[in-house]
Amino acid sequence: MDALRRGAPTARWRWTATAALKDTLPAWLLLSAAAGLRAEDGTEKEAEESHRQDSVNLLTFILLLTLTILTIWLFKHRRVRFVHETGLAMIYGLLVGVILRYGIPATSYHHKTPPSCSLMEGPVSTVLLNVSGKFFEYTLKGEINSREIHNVEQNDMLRKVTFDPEVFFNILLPPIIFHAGYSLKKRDFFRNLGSIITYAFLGTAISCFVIGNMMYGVVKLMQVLGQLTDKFYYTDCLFFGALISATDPVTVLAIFNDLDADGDLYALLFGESVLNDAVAIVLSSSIMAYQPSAGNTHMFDASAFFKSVGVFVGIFSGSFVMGAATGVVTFTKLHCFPLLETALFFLMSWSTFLLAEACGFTGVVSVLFCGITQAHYTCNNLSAESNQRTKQLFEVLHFLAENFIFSYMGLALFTFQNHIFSPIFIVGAFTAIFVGRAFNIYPLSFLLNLGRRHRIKGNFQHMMMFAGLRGAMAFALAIRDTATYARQMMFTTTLLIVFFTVWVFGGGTTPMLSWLHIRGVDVLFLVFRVGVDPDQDQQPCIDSFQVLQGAEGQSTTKQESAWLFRLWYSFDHKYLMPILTHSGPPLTSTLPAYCGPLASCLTSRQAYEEQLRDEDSEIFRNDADLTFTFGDTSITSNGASGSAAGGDAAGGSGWSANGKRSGSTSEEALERELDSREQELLSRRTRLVFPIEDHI
Amino acid sequence: HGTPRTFLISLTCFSDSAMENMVTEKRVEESHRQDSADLLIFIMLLTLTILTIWLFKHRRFRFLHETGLAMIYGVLVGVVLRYGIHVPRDISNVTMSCHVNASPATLLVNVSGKFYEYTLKGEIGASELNDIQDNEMLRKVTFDPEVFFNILLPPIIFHAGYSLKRRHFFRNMGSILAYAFLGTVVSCFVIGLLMYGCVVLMKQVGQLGGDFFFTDCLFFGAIVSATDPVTVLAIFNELQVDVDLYALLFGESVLNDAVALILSSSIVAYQPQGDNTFEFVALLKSFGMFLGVFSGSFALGVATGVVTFTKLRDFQLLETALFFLMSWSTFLLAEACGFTGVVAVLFCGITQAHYTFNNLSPDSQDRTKQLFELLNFLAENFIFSYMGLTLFTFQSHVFNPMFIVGAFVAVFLGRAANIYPLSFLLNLGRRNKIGSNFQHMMMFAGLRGAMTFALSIRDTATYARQMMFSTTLLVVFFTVWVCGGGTTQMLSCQNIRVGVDSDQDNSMSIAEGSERKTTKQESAWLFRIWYNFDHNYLKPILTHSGPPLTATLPPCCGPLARFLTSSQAFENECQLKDDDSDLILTDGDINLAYGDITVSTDASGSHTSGGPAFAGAATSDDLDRELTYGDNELVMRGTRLVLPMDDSDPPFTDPHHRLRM
Repeated sequence: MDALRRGAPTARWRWTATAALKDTLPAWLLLSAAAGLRAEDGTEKEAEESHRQDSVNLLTFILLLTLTILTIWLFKHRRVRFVHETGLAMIYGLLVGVILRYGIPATSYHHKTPPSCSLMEGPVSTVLLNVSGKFFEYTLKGEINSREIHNVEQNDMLRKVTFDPEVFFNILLPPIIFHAGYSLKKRDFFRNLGSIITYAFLGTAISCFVIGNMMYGVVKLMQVLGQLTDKFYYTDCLFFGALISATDPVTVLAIFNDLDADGDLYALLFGESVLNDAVAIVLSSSIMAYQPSAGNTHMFDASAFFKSVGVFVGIFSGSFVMGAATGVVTFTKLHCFPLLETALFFLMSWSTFLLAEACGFTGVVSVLFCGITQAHYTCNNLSAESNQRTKQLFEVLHFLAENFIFSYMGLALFTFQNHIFSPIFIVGAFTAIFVGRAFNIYPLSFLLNLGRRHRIKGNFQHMMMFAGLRGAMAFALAIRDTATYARQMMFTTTLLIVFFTVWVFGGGTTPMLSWLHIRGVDVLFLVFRVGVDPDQDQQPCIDSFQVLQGAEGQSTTKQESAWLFRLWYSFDHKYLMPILTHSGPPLTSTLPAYCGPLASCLTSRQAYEEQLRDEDSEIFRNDADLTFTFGDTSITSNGASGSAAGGDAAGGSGWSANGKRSGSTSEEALERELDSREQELLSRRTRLVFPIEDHI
Repeated sequence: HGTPRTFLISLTCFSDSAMENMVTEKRVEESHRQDSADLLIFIMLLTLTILTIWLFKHRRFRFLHETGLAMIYGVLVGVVLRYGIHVPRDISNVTMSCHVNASPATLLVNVSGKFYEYTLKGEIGASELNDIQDNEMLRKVTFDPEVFFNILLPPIIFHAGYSLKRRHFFRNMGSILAYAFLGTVVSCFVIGLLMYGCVVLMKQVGQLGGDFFFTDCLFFGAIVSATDPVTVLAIFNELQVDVDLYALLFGESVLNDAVALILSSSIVAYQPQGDNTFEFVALLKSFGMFLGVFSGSFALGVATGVVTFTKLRDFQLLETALFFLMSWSTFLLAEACGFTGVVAVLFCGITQAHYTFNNLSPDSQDRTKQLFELLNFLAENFIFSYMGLTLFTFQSHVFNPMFIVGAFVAVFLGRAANIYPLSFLLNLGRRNKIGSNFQHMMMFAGLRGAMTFALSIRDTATYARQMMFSTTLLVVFFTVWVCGGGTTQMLSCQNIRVGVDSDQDNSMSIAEGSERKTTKQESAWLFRIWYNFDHNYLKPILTHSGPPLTATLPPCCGPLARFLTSSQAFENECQLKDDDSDLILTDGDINLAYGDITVSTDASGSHTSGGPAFAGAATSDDLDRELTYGDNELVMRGTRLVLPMDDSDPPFTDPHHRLRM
């Protein structure tokens, strides 16, 4: 907690400190106090005391995390799957919260001296207190409403374990989001790009508005029933809709990974949840920016609405461009010094965040796209060791930050001072969330299925509906501003929703999977995975399934990727990859002849040496598999050996394909690559090398 | 308790709140952007430093270390910030009189019904008042000094402890302890006394603009006694300078920091009743505090470090996270108990490298090492570039030529008073004498760095402290640039063996071979006893390596022994895996150097596995053998000749390790 108060800048580096303040004037207020002497000693001792107290508080969190880790270990060891580490972190947080709230007597000695000073200008950011010739500097921490004053006086301890909400946005979320972007499974992600983007953008917007409108109905109802004690505008409802639309199915995904569930489903869920967060943030901030002109407060106003939309598009594209631009920056020659490389990588990612914030965009969003771009391009430039280092580094950061947020969530349920539990609102919110999620998934899936060859089946849709957990992002958005009555009610409700979804849905994933027969779908794959899973004994049907899967899979995937994606892919493969990385074909072969000198100037020497090393992406993918699970050893090790075998196969087939590809057109190259990957999938599942007729 | 913590101040304000809100919100946004930009400056600085370091490493420039470079960039940016950017500011200086009789930690201000909370940031000198209102920008790039102590120093110190070369460290333990404890105290008092003379002189000349007590002088002596030869050590590593010299310097500088830190805090705690006169009781109290804080931090650090993770091996991520959290909680625990967190973290690092490291899975070993390495790298370069920045952005520098010259003289004299007499005394007891060229080198390598800076910036409220801070900054600059840059020249000037690894001829190896006998005797009996105890009892209990307890404990303790020994240790019974310690040692080499690939990989190749050699030997023999084996290894490293070794297997058996070269 030192990180909060004195060491505050520690965690927040002062910038967030000021950011947290509303209604500040950067001016100086000098209070001179006529004074008692010997104040200094007391202050010093008090400062020491408070430093110690802060250390104890932070220690509480660290011990919480330690405890969580140990328990996770136990669970993993015993293969208990019904509660995920995040759920566990929340439970521990809750317990500690209860102890802090009820177990520790509030010891606060308060001295009330209301001196009368009159100030004409409103609050200032710094107050100088002149105590008998000595000046003490005070910085504004924030506004507290009058109801809280009692609490301030009453319970110092609870307030101490409360972090500045900006800590979440500026310290804890970035690593989580970056890691999500960085570990996006690129192949499956790009294959389902269209659907993912539809779910993430259109779906989130739909869900936001559905939830917002339903909540407005609920609020109206509450007003009629007289249960509402303060204002609750339509924009507040929409804001609630936006923040609660950010899904975070980390629990579900971990279980998917453990169980090796369907790749497409995984990609859809993961991709949606990652992009979702970005959309939700930008959406919520543009709803905040929706300020109708002064006369008709909180009514619909077309120009303000369009302005808001403009803000959305502007911020989003700005953050996107910024993230992609930084991500694209290449380190070409640092290969020899992994430490420098890793440090640079870390700093670049961080500076993306800061740059976006400094330009007025959303740092978290740009960090996300930075992560995706870096995984796509920069990752190829790093040396193998740095590659691993960066991955491990961000993994640890992500792990710590995530568990911290979840345990803090548990804590906040009891230590947050202004909870407003309104049963009607809560029930309404739960209903609205399910309806909103349904409106997101089902209609969109229907529309997408019209265009998709490889349909999203009914059970997949149910699973996606079920996997709409809420997590870190919803919490961070909700806690960001808890000044008004409406926001406090929202925060409380969000907290409950997160708890419920993480525990119930997260815990119910395994039964749900088997109930929806997704394991049934998976049985197809399980059959294929006989080599991997020796205790399945459905050997006889392998062949037929293989044939079926092979035929179907290949034909559908070829068609499935839209022409836009195709266009992009060929552009990326032929021009961007060679310019930005050391892999890919040399530019000299892809550019027309008259650009010769330029091409040879832009292509790195390594690219010539090792033409097309596209296995990099494969390797990355496999490693992402491994790192993501950190679960069952047996399964991961299986995965490792399986993917090793797959890698071999990919190497083989990819190589033969490459030999051909260098001369062929891009369209063919894409298809062939997809084919070879499909093959690889098969070979991974079956460990049977079949005759690949169209390649050899 | 009479001391109030929270005050309520009501200020009445009359203004149009709606309009105000809009304006202020925009301003908040603006300031947030500004803050991001400020932090971005630092990140860019670091990025630039890294790129330049890369260039230097690539071209093998050795005259400037990355820390020196970071300082130069810092200075440049400081100049730009100071003179290049002018931020116009609107100041509304409202003076009011309120009746408050202390400075509480929290202030509640009531502005027309709305309450705002203010927290105490610190006291500011009256002279600073104008500056505060003057330049917002410069103040923004100034960090809270506690950041250094609570965020930046711990990883640096932990990494130092974690990468201590343990074998050579333990071989020279006595000398290192003598230099670190006795030497630092000597140096502190010598510098303090010299500076007091200087201050008295200044008072006579009339150059002193404020109070400067004897305790201030001692405090200065304490903070400036913390050496930080990171530059020199990096060069040593690159050039493969003599290992003993390396161990002496590194060990001294690591322990040094701890001693200086506690010394300075006990000097601050030395508060005599009278007015800055000598008082015996206060001195004793101060001394007692020194011992108390030091031993407390030591015990805490060791205790946390000893905690073992026995079964987490399967889940590397969890293991790494746990390791990180444990180290951090050591720091917090020590702070919460009123000890010094940094010192606790140092000993925690040493202990973890010794015991916990053996329990980690190989993957986690790599991970933790890399993680802390990265943190250390970033924190260190950040501190040094911040140092450069503060030369211009710090608002209340007091540059006093006399004091500065005096300080430089005192620093060098203090270092001399530390090294030469102690070396003389130590040489009486040591078989393996510290040669005079080593002594000169140690004298020369007395750079000042991060710890000195952090200690001096911690409190810059009074005139004396400000003067100290400015002087310290200059001392750091000078030593890092001049002494750091001159290391290579100094090495060749002092005829210290460089490049021990490749171009030495046979005569050297023979000489070294005869030296083997001396090292056997050199380690004191105390160390010997400790080693036996550690090897026989602690290692088996705390780690999976070492002989099983059943073999070392007397038979009467059989069941207990079996209970405490892990199953892995039984498996390893035939081959004690002591190469773990070698591994960290060599990897430490690599980490520290991260420079010439050729050189560092040599080191990793030579320490492969000597494990089988130790099997089932009596313990005192074991120690001897280990030491001799280490020497053999050294020889091999020096000559690249495989000598016929009678008492240990040839270590180059594993082709895989050779490949790593």
